[in-house]
Amino acid sequence: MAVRQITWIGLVLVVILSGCTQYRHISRTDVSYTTVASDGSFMPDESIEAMIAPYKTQIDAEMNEVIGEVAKELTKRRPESTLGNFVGDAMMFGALKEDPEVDFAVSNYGGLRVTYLSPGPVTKGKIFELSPFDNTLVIVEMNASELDTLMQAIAGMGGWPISQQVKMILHGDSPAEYTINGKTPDPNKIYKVAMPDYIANGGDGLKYLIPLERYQSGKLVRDYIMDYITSLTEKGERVDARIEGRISETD
Amino acid sequence: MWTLGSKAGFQKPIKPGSMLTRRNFLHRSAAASSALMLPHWVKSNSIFAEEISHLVILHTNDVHSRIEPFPEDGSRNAGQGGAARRAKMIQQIRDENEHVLLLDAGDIFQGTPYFNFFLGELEFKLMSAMGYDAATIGNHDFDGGIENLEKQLREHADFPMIISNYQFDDTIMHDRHIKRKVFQRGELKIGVTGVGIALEGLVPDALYGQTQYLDPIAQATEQADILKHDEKCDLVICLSHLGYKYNSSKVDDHQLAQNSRSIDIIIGGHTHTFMNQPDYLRNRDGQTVIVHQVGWAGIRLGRIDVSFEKNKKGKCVTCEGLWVKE
Repeated sequence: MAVRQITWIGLVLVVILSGCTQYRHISRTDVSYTTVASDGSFMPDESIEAMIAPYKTQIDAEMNEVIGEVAKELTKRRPESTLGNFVGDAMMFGALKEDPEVDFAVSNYGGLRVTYLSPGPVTKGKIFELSPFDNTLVIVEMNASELDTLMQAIAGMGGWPISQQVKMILHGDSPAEYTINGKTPDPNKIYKVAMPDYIANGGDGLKYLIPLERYQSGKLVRDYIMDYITSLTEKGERVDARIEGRISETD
Repeated sequence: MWTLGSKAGFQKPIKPGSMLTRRNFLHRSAAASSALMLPHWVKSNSIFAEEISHLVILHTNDVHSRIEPFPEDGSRNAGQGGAARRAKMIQQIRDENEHVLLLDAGDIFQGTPYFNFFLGELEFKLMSAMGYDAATIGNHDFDGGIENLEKQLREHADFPMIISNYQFDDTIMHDRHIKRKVFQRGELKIGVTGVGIALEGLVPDALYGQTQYLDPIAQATEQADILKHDEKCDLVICLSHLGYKYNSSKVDDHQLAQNSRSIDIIIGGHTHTFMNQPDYLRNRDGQTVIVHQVGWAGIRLGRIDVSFEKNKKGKCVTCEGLWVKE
């Protein structure tokens, strides 16, 4: 008897609740996308173009300047890539002007913001897209143990853009092996590593770098990259890079 | 629109071995009826339910100051993207649909000289002109500093920044953001909230100042509950700049979908993921959540069409669909 009463009260509640609830539900969903392409299916909106125009004029005046020539398509990949090697060497080029004792240069992977540089003329604007952040180049001093922490972090993140002084072999979950200028790390040496201040200030989880001794160049990584390209152009050389085993993986 | 047979209406694969549900049965019947060239009214499911509204949600993420299309230099993205062409596309969809919602999932700033030169001014002006209804905040939106973000929003944006898990109390952004908003489209009420990624170690401290990051799942669920139950929204969308899916335990859109409640659609960003179809996941109450993301740079414009119906008998007809009110 008691059970029946409870059931009955329950039924009344259901009726009351359903009586005052409006049932409206999604009957169908379709998810799609359209590629915004210049294939003629959509013409640009003229009022939007008019809004962009005055800004574009200012940017183009400076950014369309051709500063060099790219030999072949340079791409960004892990663990090692042509674009990464180019940027590593460009940073090293800049760092050596600040301090001839710098051992190598490294950038975080996310510091490169285009996935490729196309062959042909390269403009200032393109380098702004490659390196849009206003990060300055710093040179951080570290002992061999601190160096190892950095190298293992780079290995753990699958490899970063790095200059040619480094050879590194990744061993999956085991520690990576590496040499700097052909030598295994010297426990008595203080290493000087050039990097964007983003990393030196603890970016990408490298907080341990924050208290280390550093030299601040005060100059943007992007400006060093443009200087490097200009210097190549002056020598009659093109922007180029190859995969040469700076960072490689074992099975 | 109601010829269900032409394209899977609810694009969710039927699990192998699953029972032939009533919905699937209906779906297959509809397919069969269109195959038999039956009269138009037979194909419609109006005998079961009454359609009351159709909503088109358009979305972008990680546009990264890509004001102009990629240059026509023969490279793989050549000619793609660009605000002017996207605006035209949006306008055409608005012309064809009464109820449109236009949203962005963050990282509006940074990536071309337009940001280096003008600090986001043009990005916000163009989004306002295109009629964006709301956006959430990406990590790169702090790249000019939190003061710059506030200034550009104040001066150039006529849409709100919606984010539930950045505690801005001690910052200049405290009254320049909201945790949720209800958009009315005809009879429909659509609730929108948003979540952002952990900033520590990702964005230099000085750029985000005293912003406190809070648990996105808890905060989004709290806002979504309010939207769904107190505000009685028909649909709840969460804009997310968490990222699509990580191999680590780091919170992502899949975790948000599976561990939250009251969210129907997650519009994602951060990982620049080009999804060719959405993911359909179950939230902690077992209800379906759609996760979608459209890469980056405005190369794609995402579109989610949602049809709503009211069932006179108070029962769900298409039980695989998303329930909005129970």
